[in-house]
Amino acid sequence: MRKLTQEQVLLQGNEACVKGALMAGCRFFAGYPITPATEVMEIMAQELPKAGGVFIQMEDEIASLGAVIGASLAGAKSMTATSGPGFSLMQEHIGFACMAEVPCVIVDVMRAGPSTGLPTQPSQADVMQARWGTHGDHPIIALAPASVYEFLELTIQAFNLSERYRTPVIILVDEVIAHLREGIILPALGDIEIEERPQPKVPPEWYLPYGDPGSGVPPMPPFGEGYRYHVTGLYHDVRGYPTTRIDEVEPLIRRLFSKISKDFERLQWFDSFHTDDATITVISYGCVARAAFQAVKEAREQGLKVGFVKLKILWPFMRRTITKILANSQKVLVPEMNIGQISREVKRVNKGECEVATLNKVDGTPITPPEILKMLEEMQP
Amino acid sequence: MKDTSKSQKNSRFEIRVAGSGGQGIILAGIILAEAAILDGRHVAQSQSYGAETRGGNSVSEVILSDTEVDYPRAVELDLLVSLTQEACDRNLSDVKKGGRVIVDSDLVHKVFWEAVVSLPFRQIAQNVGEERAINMAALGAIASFCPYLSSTSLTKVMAKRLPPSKVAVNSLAFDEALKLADKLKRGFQPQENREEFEI
Repeated sequence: MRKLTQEQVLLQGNEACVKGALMAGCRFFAGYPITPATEVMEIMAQELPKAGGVFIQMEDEIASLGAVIGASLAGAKSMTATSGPGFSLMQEHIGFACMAEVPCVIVDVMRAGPSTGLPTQPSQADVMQARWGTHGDHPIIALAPASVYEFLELTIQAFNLSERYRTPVIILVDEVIAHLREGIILPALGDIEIEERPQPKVPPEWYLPYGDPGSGVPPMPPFGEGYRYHVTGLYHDVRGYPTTRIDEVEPLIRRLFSKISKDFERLQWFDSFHTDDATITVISYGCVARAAFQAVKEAREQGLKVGFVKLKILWPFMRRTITKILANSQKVLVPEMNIGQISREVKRVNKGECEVATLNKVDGTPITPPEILKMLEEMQP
Repeated sequence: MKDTSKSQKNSRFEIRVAGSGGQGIILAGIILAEAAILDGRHVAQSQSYGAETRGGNSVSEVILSDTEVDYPRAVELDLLVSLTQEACDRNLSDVKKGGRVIVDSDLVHKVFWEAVVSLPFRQIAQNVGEERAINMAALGAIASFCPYLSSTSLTKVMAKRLPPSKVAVNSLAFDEALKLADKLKRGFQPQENREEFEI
């Protein structure tokens, strides 16, 4: 628990996201306003120029992510922010960024859908869209903050992961956390670890833009510094030129997956509470984790053996972490503000020993602690 | 709603300010939250509103706590402030047993609650010459009835958050409402907890 000091500042989630992005070195933002993500854009418009960055309001979300990808190729850490309807439009370019391996951060403040849905009300229903929204096999990273401070922290980490793996990273936050104001203590710049994309160690004429240096992540120099190369959404060879050769196509898609999957062990980010002796464990993320934590604490006071896990990474799905929880509990409860998206993943990795219960609320209001507590009481053996 | 955890009771305090869009409901919540930070509390401030900029239902919530706030929205209100009749009707059911309801005496006429504080916020704002100060007048009453907030911190934050030219009139409205509320509170306090007020 962080201590209260005089330096505590009242920040909104979206505001904290901007702070985190600027700390991580973000210097380009292109977007199109949409509730409940507008504040990110609004504050970026004010703050980016002061930090020497560039802000552009584009004509729509397709163009927004296009501009972000271009800026990233030119060497700037870049991001955009949107909500469901805009996130749908961005899917095409998310695929391009995966294929061309362009680092970028996309904030999706989840509001209730489908379509324009409930513009001012929360949801967690874009989880599967973040995973499979763009076509074709592709790896993706998605993070889910559950507090204003975590929104700041995970925005920094989103940039780090994006630069480290040269991949788009999605921040899946819900309207509750995006619009919530909490007192937080800003981390000191010196305390934050900032990662940069790998740079070539060879002269331009020897540079292979899509060659595997061993880590699976090719070095990425900014455009305009003499390293000329071809960028395409087509399958390409190590020089970046289109190819259909079977000995180039499959290795490319395999490398895109393995550059992230080789690090699965490093990508198990979660918080837990009382999981050791729990017979029932609640698995949650985003604003629902806040309700779940309170419900679990109250249940413990009643003497119920329940535990709590909060997922900070949703994609890649933390199979290693979840499998352990499933093995140690008799039952798990997955409360979500959707019809059942992460619970589907939990059921997928469950080997049958554990009973997986769901609590799905889709009325545009957040799940409350009493609702989870009631469910936990009913689930008692 | 049945009793939630007892340990929470002392540390968690839930306030909701409800009214219509344009009444400055959200700003009131932000000032409350920031003042509570100055007073050493953990806070969570949230809001919900419709798609319109004026009118419609606007709600701002502030949770105060000794420890980090777990669930950031209100479950059982300790204090409800309503600046319209509709806001009062919609939110009254969320107030916990024994909770306090504060309403504008001109705008809210019917409240079925045992401990209602009815104060003329709109009138106070009109008297100081700034109709929009109705939200700061409401803050004055909150300062009086919320044990975890000091009026000094609230005035400090008001001076920071409001446009400089509007600080003086808003402070007047705040002080006026605070004074009236303090006077009323004395009536509520000692022996007679279940006193009913005619409004």
